[in-house]
Amino acid sequence: MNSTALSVDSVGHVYGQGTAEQFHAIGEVSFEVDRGEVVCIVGPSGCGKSTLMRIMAGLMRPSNGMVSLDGHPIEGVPADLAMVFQDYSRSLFPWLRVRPNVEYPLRHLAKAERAQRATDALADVGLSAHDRKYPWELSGGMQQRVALARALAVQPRILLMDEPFASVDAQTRSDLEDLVLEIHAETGITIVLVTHDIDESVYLADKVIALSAQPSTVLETIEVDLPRPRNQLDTKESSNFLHYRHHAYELLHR
Amino acid sequence: MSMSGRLWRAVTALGSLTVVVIGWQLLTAWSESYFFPPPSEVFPHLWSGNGGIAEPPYLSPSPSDLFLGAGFYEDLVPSMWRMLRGYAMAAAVGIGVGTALGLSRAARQYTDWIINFVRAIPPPALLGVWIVVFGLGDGPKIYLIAFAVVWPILLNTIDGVASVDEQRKQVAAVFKIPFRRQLTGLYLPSASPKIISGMRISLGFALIMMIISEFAGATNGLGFRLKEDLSFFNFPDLWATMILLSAIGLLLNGLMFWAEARILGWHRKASEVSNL
Repeated sequence: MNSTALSVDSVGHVYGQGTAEQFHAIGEVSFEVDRGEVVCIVGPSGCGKSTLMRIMAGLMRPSNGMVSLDGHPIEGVPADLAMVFQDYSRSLFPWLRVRPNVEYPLRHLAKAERAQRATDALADVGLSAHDRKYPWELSGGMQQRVALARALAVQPRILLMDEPFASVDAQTRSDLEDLVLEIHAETGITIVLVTHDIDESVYLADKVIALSAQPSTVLETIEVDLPRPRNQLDTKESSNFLHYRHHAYELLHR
Repeated sequence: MSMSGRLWRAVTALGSLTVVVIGWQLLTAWSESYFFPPPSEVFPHLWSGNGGIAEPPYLSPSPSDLFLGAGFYEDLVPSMWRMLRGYAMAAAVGIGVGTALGLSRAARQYTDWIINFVRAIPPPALLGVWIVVFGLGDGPKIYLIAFAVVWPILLNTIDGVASVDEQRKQVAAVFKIPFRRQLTGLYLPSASPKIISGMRISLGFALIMMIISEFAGATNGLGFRLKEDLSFFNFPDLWATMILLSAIGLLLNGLMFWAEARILGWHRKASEVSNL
């Protein structure tokens, strides 16, 4: 179980190196994500979290260091990886209905297999009844569920989520957090989630990576030892949860 | 729109049209000018040849002709066929080249000034050159139409493809969508509102260029007829052709509207709930 899935090794990034607008986004960041773990990266706004996520997804190369998945250095987007973006309205395709949106990354599969996977993924996120609608006919939370279904349908081994719940209201947010926990419990998928919300990171994670402001470094890797399954009331009222939350808050607001 | 709303709109449109035609009739009957025959004289020229120098009529009173006259086959069809081919050529080149340029910032930088330079040439100025190069057949007319109307399609396609949302491109990259499917599944649908708005502008323009292209080196077509009617002082036929042209313009507009509603239904409705 505890073999390393994703390894981030001394990654640093500078935008526009050598130009007047040079911007040092990531100082030096190292951490490891074990297989089947939920890891949350938490840090202040503009600390290079999204840059780090794009590097882990293989969408861009870091200036320094390297990222490897299952022991192989990442050069380009690896197979078995899927991603949920922050802005659902710009990540879904408004010209496609919900089901074709979910099936869009599956075109290499036979039609029946594609349909089955989309059906399963939509059922997992509770949207079976809405597959004929257009994304923009749905609420924000439901649109993000569609994006999650699209990611799950490719049956990835690692799921990256870039501030996935930052644009929805608080009620919807806790529903979506629980949905992620449910899906993790069912599938055992490895999840790396970026957030600026300390409560969310502690609630979801096995391990919280606390980042400093840019150029970001790892302030501390907090092992979160809270029993699963977790729920919004018991977990968040437990003294251990409050202890982790307190600790992370102090780290980030020093 | 509700049924009664539609009915009311049809009634008001018909009503104002009737007023205009009556006004036209009264004014022209009163003026007695030879250049402005009254509609009561013009309209019959649509379906009956009046002998002498009259042109073959577009329509026929006979059901066995499907109500279509010789002018329909000899002039209207050749004109529309030229226009259609010119327009199709412009759409193919505009969307094809526009997509290629939209994808590459470097290609845009190299071609930007060329496009603006060539685009600045008023197309009718090229008619003579086109006839010298391509001869007298349909070729020069089609190329003239294509050359004139390609620009709105080309520029809008470039703009549409170049402004595809960064995050959607990342989605395609993360899910490892092959390039050809990114073109058909992401770039073209995303650019389609702009492409189609360019095509709408071009369609009206194509009608104008079709007429102009037939002013020289043509032996049939609506533009040819307008020129002939003018030189023979055949004003009732001249006006009849203009009525026909405005009807064609209306029809094309309606077709475009219908196609747009079908292809861009998602865009109109999505824009109502959010800004995409």
